Amino acid sequence: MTGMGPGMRLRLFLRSLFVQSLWSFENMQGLGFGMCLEPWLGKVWKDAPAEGRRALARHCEHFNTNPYMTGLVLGMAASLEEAAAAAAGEARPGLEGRQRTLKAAASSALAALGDSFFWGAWRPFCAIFAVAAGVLGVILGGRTVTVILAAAGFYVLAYAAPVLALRWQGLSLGYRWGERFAQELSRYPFQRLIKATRMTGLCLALGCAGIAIFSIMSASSLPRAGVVAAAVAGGWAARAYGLTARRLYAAVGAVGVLAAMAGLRW
Amino acid sequence: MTTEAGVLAAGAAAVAAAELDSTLAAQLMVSRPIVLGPILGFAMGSPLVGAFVGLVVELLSHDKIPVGGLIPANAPISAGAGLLLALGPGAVALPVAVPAGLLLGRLHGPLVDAPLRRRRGRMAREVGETLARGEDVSLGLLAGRELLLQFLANLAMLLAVIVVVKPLGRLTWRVVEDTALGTGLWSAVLISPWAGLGMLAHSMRLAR
Repeated sequence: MTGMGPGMRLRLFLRSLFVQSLWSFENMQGLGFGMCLEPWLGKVWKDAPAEGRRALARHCEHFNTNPYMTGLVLGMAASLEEAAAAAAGEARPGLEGRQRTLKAAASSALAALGDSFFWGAWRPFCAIFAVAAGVLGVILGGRTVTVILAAAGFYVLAYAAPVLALRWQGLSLGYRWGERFAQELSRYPFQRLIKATRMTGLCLALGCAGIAIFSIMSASSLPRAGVVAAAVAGGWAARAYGLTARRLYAAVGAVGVLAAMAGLRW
Repeated sequence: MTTEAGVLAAGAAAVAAAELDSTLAAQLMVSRPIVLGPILGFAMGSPLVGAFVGLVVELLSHDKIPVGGLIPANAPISAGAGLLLALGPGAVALPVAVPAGLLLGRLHGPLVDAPLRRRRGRMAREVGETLARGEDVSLGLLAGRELLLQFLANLAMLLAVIVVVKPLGRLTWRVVEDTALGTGLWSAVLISPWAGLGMLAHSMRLAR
């Protein structure tokens, strides 16, 4: 980075953690994005404050992407804004229009990528991983409370480390890539990463369920293990048919009521 | 009793603050039920209950993802409210505390999130107008104010849960405890985590 020193990068990074703090239905992250870029705009437009305010208004327009990908877009916008500030007055409107188009394209592409990786794969994967680590810790004879707290800490570390790294590194990558953003991004094997995460998560989830069913079967009773197996299969089927978790919870409760009326108990 | 009530109020404040992590700030997932549950449970003297409630809510909160304007049931509020009901003075039995927590997490959207988001929409228009007039705006200050507002709204909701929902929950359980409905509620709280695991596994399958 030539124009963005470590101090400025840190300011943008810290502000990027709050990009959703001004989230609204109409504007989505627009106001938050403007808030993140505020110090940078103050720097590049310091000799033309009126232009700086115009730039801030432009960046406060509707914007939405996956929050963890904001660093990349912020870096790119910072680079394009620096170019606009350095350009001659008559070239600026063209550059501003180009900036709008590139920002919109990058935000959509990164939203799709970030949502399918972080919300669709990484977050559930970390949850399953923490559960698996907890189960393993208890099997290995760890003190239950210690294992539970360690698994919770493990979840936060596993989730937060790549997220923070992406937010921090994204700033410099986006700034360096500038207009070459799309070409550079296409070099990364995101889809393979998503598939591998999901596949590992699926194996871990089914493995956890299998171990639990086996343990219940050997420790208590076959019918109870059968109920657990049916519940896991039922959860899978419910999700496949689009049933929400709350409805599933109510359905399990209703089955429990019917079972109790029939004289069966869990 | 006063100390226990203080712990409950402190727990409500902790949940209200942690909830900010779910959408408005950082999103490091320290607010996820699987993390919040054990920590809150530990702080309130029952780490195992905390872990159990956290696990149940965690496994049941992956059915919708927060994309665009969608407001899914708020998992930190579900787990936090469930635990505030299940622990401390006047504790409510888990078969009532957990579904009540899930319901309150769902209500958080229309009661707290949506009105505050609409308010920020009006604020965005005002900011645009102010900048167009050539006046300065401190967006950092506005962001700080919104975080504080969301925290206070969360806290108000959670304190209402302690004051209003807790006695109702205890009464409900006293009425249904020995009935088929009581057994059904126990079944739901014990079996639903397994169903949640199945749901979570399904969400990890590779879409064709």
